[in-house]
Parts: sequence; structure tokens; C-alpha cells
Amino acid sequence: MNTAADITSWLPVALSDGLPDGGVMRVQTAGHDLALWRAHDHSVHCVDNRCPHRGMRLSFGFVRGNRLNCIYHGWQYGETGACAYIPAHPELTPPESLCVPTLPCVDHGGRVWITLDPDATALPAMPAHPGLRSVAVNVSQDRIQAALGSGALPSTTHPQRGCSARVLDTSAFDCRIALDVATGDTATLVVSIQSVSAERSQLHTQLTAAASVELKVAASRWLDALRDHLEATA
Amino acid sequence: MTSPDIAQDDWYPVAIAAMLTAGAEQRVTLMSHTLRVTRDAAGKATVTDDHGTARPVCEAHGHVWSSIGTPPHPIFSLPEGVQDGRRLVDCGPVRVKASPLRVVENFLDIAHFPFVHTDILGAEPHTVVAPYDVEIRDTVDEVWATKVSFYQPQAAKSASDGIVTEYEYRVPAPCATILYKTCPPRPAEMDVIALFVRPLNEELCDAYAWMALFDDDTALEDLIQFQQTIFLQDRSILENQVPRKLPLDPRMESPTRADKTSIAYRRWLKRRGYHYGAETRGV
Ligand code: FES
Ligand SMILES: [Fe+2]
Repeated sequence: MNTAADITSWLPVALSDGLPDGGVMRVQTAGHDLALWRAHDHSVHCVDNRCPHRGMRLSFGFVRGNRLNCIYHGWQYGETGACAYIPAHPELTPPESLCVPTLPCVDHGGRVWITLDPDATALPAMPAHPGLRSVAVNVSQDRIQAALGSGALPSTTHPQRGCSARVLDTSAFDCRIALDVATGDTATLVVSIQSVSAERSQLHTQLTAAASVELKVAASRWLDALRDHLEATA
Repeated sequence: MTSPDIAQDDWYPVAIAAMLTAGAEQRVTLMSHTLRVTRDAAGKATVTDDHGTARPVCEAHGHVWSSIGTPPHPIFSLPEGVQDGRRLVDCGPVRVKASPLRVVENFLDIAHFPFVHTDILGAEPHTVVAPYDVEIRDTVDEVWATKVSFYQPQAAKSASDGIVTEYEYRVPAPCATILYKTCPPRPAEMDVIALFVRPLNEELCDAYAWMALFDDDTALEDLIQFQQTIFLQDRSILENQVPRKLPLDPRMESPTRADKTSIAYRRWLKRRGYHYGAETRGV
């Protein structure tokens, strides 16, 4: 079976809803330690998680306007990664060489994507569904893809929230799963897999339609069961 | 490559002197060696290693000091520690998952005050670091920074309003640093705050803060609490600097004029060949 990495070099690293304006989060993938942030102009950015000044992790930083500020000495980095302001020396124009490396980063289809490939082609159109949640799983991306491909999915039992599940289809970017809920409701879950390391992944999940709180809870419980199932069979 | 010889011949704090009561025994790790620190009924402190061999020992500046090597010099002096009228305060060790050298360098840094010690030692928009002097004093082989000043909303437990605080910094040994700062109740004197660091290994240490203050009013627990608050804020930074060890290659990090003390400290370490806790790739 094709893995996402065979076809696309874009990695989903967060749900769009999970990174609000002014938000900063740490992203780890394939040995890279990165900081993901969203400016107040709503644009998303990904930088090396290390401030060039004294090595502080930029994921501890804060956003003001359209700049990422390091928490240690407040150095400000603009959307290109260039250092724009050093609070200890406000009169100084930082040299162009003073910058933090960036990676291509886009907000697309309800997810934030990055790529380590500077020549990556643009992502195709895809619908932006509301985010459900991101789930950490202690299993490799390949094993998760194989498990979803096998079609052997867990079900949950509960008079209202119980769900049975089946895979609808799989693309290079995500997998769609139909959930049949005990109440008779149905929902479609879109699951994108991010490799974190050889043993860890993140599932970024969305529901294709606006859902009631009850339905979200049922889908979320089913995701817990999926994670337990993946970790138990790994 | 690390050369432990130079580092292992230094003195390091192994106990707070007042906490080592007669008959007490403490086990501590120093540079991956386990040491047993005891005090006999006559008041004499003894340090032995895991082979039962006696290690060098001295008591100074509120602490018991020892070494896994052979220190060629007596421990540095700190005259303010025995000056009349000063109140001596032990703040106890705080464990930090970082290189001891990063811990010392952070102590020498003022530019982080508004961001890390917000509304205590600094506050925006008062972020400017004015020019100051730094030198390596060859006669004593110490790093000194003088004429350092910074606006502080609450410089010490005894200060209630914002003031421009003046500082001097001294590094008498790679893992020991002393700060002299404006003393609000006694304008003619300087308060002394020292940080003595014991490396457990190159990326883990215990930091002992020790103060010699002109402050007879503030309750002891408030003085300790103030220092602990500050240091725990620093620890949240220190445990998230990458790499954990202190880079000695100037190309690995990008200092500015405000970092003159840190630049001199790194240069001094390099010149001494003190590489324990240092990232020496590229050097
Ligand atoms: S380490 Fe980031 S501003 Fe100093
Ligand atoms: Fe600090």
C-alpha cells in the first residue's frame, strides 16, 4: 500500500483549529525539533525550535502582532524568520544573517502542513472540515497505516455513545472512517497521520459535518479505543 | 572532547555547612563520583569517595567544598562573607537539568530580566542594556563585569519601588559566580548574592544560592522564597536551552553587546581548557 510519504512530502502537524492566532506549539518529526506558530494576520509559520541567540526553544515563546518572540531575551522574529528586534538594543538593526531557519508551512484543508522538501509541489484542493482532536499514539506511522488498511477497526460499547467503524477510503493525505453510533447517528471521521519518530505518531482528526456534543464525545471515545487498539497490536 | 583533569581539580560545594551537623552523613554526587560527607563531634568535616579514600575538604562561604582531584589552590576568597553586619542566608540546592556552565552564564545575564523575571527584576519597556565594562583580571584569573545597571521594578525583597540597580559580577571559578548589587537600605554598600554549582555530570547540577545581605528586617523565609522564585524561573529556561552543554565555538550562538560578560566567560573557559559541561564541537 502507498504511504503518505511515497506520494507527498507534506506532513500534517496540527489541526487548524488547534493553532489559534497568537498560538505557538512544539512539533517533532523525523528527528526535527520545530516550533509552529500563527501570527495575528492568521498566517502559519514553522521554524527551527532553537533561538540563534542562546539556544532557547522557541516553542516556549509568545506571539505579538506578526512576530514570534523568544521567551528568554525577547528577540523578535518576523514571518521570514529574520530577527527584527532585539530588546536589549532597540536602536540596532539586526544583521540579515541573524535569522532562524524556516520550513514551508501552509494552513490547508483544516490542517497545518509542513514539508522538509523545498521543492514540494502545492497540496491539492481538499475540504476544510472542523477539527475534532489530535491524539498521540505510541506506534509508527507505517504500522498505523497498515492497521487502517487491514480494515480491522475496534468498536466501542455504550448504550448511546457506542460506535462501530469501517474505513471508507484512503488517500495520500488521510483516511476517511464511517462511524455508526448506537443512537442511529452516523459521522465521517477524517484521520491524518503525522510521524513523530520511529515509535510515535499523531493522529489529527476532523468530522466532515458539524456535529452535536454527544456525537463528538462518541467519536472522541472511539478515537481513544483506536489508540488503545493500535498500541496493543503494535 | 572533554578534558576532565582541569575541571576535576577545582573545588565544588558538597554541603551547606550549617546543615551538616555533628554526626550527620550526606551522600552527594560530584562529576559522577559518589562522595560521603560527614562531620565529627569535634566539628571537623570529612569527605570520602566510594573507595573510602579521603578527598580534599574545606569550609568557606557557608558551604563545605571538596574535589575529586587535587586542587592546586585554596578556594577563592570572598571577604564580604565575613564582613560585620551582613546577614548570611543559605538558599539550599536546586537541581537543574543543564550544564553547570549554562547555569553560571544565566546568572551573569541581565537582558532576560524583563522576560523571565517579569515585574520582579525587570519589566517592559525597560529592556535596554546600557554599555558596561568586562575584563578578565589576569592577576587573579577571574572574570569581572562592572558598571552594569538595569531598571528593576522590585530589585530585592527590601525594595518596594522600581529603581535603577547597579551591579558587579565576578566569576572566581568556572562553577561559582558572585553578584554585587545596590543595597536599598544601605546605599554605600553592595548586597552579595552568590551561586555555587556542583556538577553531578556534564548536563545535570545542583545550584546553591548564598546571600550576604544588609537586611535585618525581612523574614528569613521571605528572603529564601524570593530567591527560589527567581531561580525556578531561570530553571525553566535552563532546562530548555539547546544544546544542554555550553557552546564554546562562537559561531554556534549569536551574542550581542549585552552579552559581553558571557562572551568573556566562554573565552576564559576556552583559554583555561575547562571543557567539562561545554560543547566543544567546532573549537
Ligand atoms: S535565547 Fe532567544 S532571545 Fe536570547
Ligand atoms: Fe535569571
